[in-house]
Amino acid sequence: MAKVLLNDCSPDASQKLTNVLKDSAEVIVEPFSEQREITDFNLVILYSNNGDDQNILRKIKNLHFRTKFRNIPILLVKDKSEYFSDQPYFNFGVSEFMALDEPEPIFNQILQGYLNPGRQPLDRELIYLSPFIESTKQVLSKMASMEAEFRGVYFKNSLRVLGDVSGVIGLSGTTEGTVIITFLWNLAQRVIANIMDVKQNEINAEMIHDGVGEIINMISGSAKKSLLEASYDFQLSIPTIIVGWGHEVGHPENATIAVLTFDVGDQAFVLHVSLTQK
Amino acid sequence: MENTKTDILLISISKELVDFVAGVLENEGYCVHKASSMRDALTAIDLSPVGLILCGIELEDISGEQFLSYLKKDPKRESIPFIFLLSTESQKELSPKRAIEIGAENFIFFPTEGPVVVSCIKDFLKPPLKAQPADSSSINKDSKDSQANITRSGLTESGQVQNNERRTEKRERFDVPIPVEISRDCKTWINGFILNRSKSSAMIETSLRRRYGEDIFIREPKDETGTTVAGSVVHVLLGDESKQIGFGVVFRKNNGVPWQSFSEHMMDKTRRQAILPIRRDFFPIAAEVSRDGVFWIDAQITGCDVMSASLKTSILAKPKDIMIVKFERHGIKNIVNGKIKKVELDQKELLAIIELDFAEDEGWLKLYTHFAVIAGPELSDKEKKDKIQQKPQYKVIKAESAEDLNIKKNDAVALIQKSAPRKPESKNKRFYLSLIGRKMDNYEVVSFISAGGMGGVFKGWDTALERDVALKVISWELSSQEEFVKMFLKEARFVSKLNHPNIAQIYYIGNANGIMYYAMEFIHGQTLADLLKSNTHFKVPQIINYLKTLCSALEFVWKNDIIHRDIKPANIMVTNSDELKLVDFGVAKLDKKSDVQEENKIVGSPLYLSPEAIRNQGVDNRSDIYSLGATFYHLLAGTPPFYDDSCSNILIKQLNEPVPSLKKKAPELPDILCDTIEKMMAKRCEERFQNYQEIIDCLNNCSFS
Amino acid sequence: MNVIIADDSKVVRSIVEKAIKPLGYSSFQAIHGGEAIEILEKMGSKVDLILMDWNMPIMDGYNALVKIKEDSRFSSIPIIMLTSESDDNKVKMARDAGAAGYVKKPFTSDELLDNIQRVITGS
Repeated sequence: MAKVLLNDCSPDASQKLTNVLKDSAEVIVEPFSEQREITDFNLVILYSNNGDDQNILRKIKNLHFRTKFRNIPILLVKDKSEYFSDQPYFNFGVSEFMALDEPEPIFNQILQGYLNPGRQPLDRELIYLSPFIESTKQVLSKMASMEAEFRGVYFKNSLRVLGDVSGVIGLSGTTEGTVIITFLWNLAQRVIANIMDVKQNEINAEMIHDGVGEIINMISGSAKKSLLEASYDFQLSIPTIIVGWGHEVGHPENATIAVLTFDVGDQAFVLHVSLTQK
Repeated sequence: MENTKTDILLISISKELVDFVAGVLENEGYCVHKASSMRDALTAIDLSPVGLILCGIELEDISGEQFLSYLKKDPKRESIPFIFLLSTESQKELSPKRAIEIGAENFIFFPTEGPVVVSCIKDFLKPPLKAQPADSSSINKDSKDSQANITRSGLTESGQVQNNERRTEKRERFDVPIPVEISRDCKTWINGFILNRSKSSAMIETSLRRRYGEDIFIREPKDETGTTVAGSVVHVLLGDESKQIGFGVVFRKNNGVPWQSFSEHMMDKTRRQAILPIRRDFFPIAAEVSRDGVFWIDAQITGCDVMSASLKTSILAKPKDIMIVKFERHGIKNIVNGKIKKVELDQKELLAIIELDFAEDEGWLKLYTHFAVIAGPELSDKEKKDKIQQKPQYKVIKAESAEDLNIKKNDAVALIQKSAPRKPESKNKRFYLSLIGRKMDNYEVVSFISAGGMGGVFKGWDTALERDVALKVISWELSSQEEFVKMFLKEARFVSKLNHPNIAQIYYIGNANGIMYYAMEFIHGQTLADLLKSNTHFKVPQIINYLKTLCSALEFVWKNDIIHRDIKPANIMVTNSDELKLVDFGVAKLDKKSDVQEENKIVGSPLYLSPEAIRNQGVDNRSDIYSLGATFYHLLAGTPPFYDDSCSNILIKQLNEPVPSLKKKAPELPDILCDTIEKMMAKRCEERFQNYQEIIDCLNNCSFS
Repeated sequence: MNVIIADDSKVVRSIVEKAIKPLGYSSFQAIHGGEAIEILEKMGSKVDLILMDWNMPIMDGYNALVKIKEDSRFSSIPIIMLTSESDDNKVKMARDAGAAGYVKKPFTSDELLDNIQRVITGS
């Protein structure tokens, strides 16, 4: 059964949401807590109606952090469906907004949509995803002496980075695509400090740039050999390093966007792979 | 070229000063002429080979400053190097900076030690050869002296030669000192100004303190590419209270960037900046940047001038990297390459603040001029703001925070249009998109194809039967209506029992957590609507074949008591192997409760609706015939039979206007074909063909078939 | 032992330098092929080994490799290619152009040192 977490809900919200969900999920209602483990939930719903944007954004960012990049959508529920600037929320990881005054059918349909489980990769997708999983683990182990545990793959409908720093690399040729690695600062610094054998606080902007660039370069370059054997032929672009949340990155139109999640101890990072054969 | 003038002229009203300096210099072997007035001074210059003038602030007859100006106006005398002798008291009348400005080569602050004086003089005038032994003897006498000599002994003979060359080099004085940055170790950089320069030396004013012989590095301000010029200090400029205010530098060859080219570049830059006004700190201008021309990201140009720009963006890069800047607005398109000089990472806001240099790319000049026009030179900040807001097409966005900066252009427009209420369609689309990557029963939702009035269409994978499927998810508006659901299920059950090569098979109807959907045959191909959009040219025989095929398919369907109800180009697919497939039976039916005339309630396109359907009078197979006719009319004519700007106008035309002559629109079509189509589209169903076989028969008579 | 490390990534240069430091090697860093050649011009035959990245701006490692091997002054200096693209095609290209060794990224410092060892003793 799916598990849903409701945070900071008003009595109305709580009642409505529980009503809709009760038949298909186990619903836990709690006040927001920064320490709460949420990785075993399928869905988190945060209620807010006081317009305190900064505080809500902070909570959302924290919730997203606690999802450890797993496929746990965060929905934001408000009382009224009036217009507001929603982009910042998407940038920090909100998947959808709901309003209690929306017509019941759509309210229900959206919620229930999120209760459907995530799909597994198709065989033909595994062929190109496995080399990336292997090379990611290898790069972290050989260069940073860190063990990256592969936690699973899920699929998204857009390539939006939800992290502090990302390395983006383009694939071109008969195989086209985009591969992005996304880290939160702390882990990025830790990994690069390990690679360079320096203290974490000695890491500066140039090292972050070179380090993340080199990591995505190595991951893609290493995967290239196995992919070539599977007839995926491509050239790699130079990596582009971007900082900040919410950037949507271009990818081939009919390619699926796979998100590979890895745990390094109690921290996590992701590798997005989106590619297609021409 | 040897300087043939070897004498020194020493002028001051202060006898003490004159005696002291003369004594020191004569010891070195110089020939010193003393004077205390301009009159005497000029006489000395005329009669003796004076190669250097040391002058105090005050002369008997005029001030030192006036004397200097006088000399500089005289072509015969203006080239003689002039050094001011200053003191803390005289500072009030003549500051060191002013001294240099008015043309003095250097100045010496008193009281001071002999060796300081000597070393300063020696830069300008070497002592006569025969006096050299005196030089070496003075080395042994004074330890301080020797220290000065030791530090200079690094130069030794080559240094001496260099000194000569330097002295005879043309010295260029700058009216406006050129700003640079100075460092002792290439790590910390401090502002400085080049006051004058020659081919291998310069005089620098700076607060960085250095001693004789010590290393000095110079770079262009804010340039972190590592391009520096290395030199060493050869004399020190003293200011108030003997505080150091600068120094003279000599530049070594073959060490980093040559001074010559660096200083010329800096002079050129300053000259350029003087021509076009420097305008820093613009109202932020939105542009896009990229490292490789592939991935582009928004950037805010926060300041720029003729050769450089500062911008904020989310791309992190390094000094020396190339960054491409793209600015595209109504009519103005510019892509310029810049070299990154400096990068600062704002960790809190997660932005890179980048200094770009465009010296290599002329395109920047064009763009810069354009920005200058927007910002306006004479406008106050408020006026600029107003002016810019008048022209929203420039999309000038003042970034309030990192989140603001991440807003894509479309959203920026939405931000401005705050009053527009959220439309449900966009939410629908987001809902469909949220299904991607999820699993509904045995079906994995792989990718999104399109969204229509009925719902969303996806490509899916059947995990049980291991095949591609098309998944159609019914929209919430329809699936929430019990009546619709009942009708839909009934129809779908009927259609699923059909087995015809030209009808897309329905495999399954499901309800995944309340989401209604059905799975059907995935067709690799395109709809006729897609083909129309891409201006595909259809050959007439091909069209006739298509029409006949569809007629027989619809005949089969009709024999099973099913009416399609929504025949249109978007519901007819052509597979990659050129087979026709009819899709979407009955499910696009209008909601019985809604009024057809209301524009936003019509589900599906009004372009192919039969009159009786519009009037809600009850439809039968002849309504399908009408729609089929309208569809093929469109294919043959290239445009739909009835077209207008608004939905209701189209419907009115369908109801009332006669079908525009197909023959007129496409004269090359055979008459029989045109007549057939037009008969299919008769306003009254009695006047149309009553069954599909009749149509097929008609078409068979067509000369093309 | 004088070693030139050519790689546009500061991170990689730093790792390599640290790896070879315990051996007492002196390293000289270049950020692209052109700089590596500049260093060669200055130091000439005093250079014992070049570790060359493949993908670099201005002049990439492969072009630098070819250029150096064509120059009779430097052609005997062993060059080990470092690169993340480890497909057979590239390896062959490098060997054909005269590379003495090939280290695939990611590499452990042991792997790097083994490769260097092999090349030095072999030559």
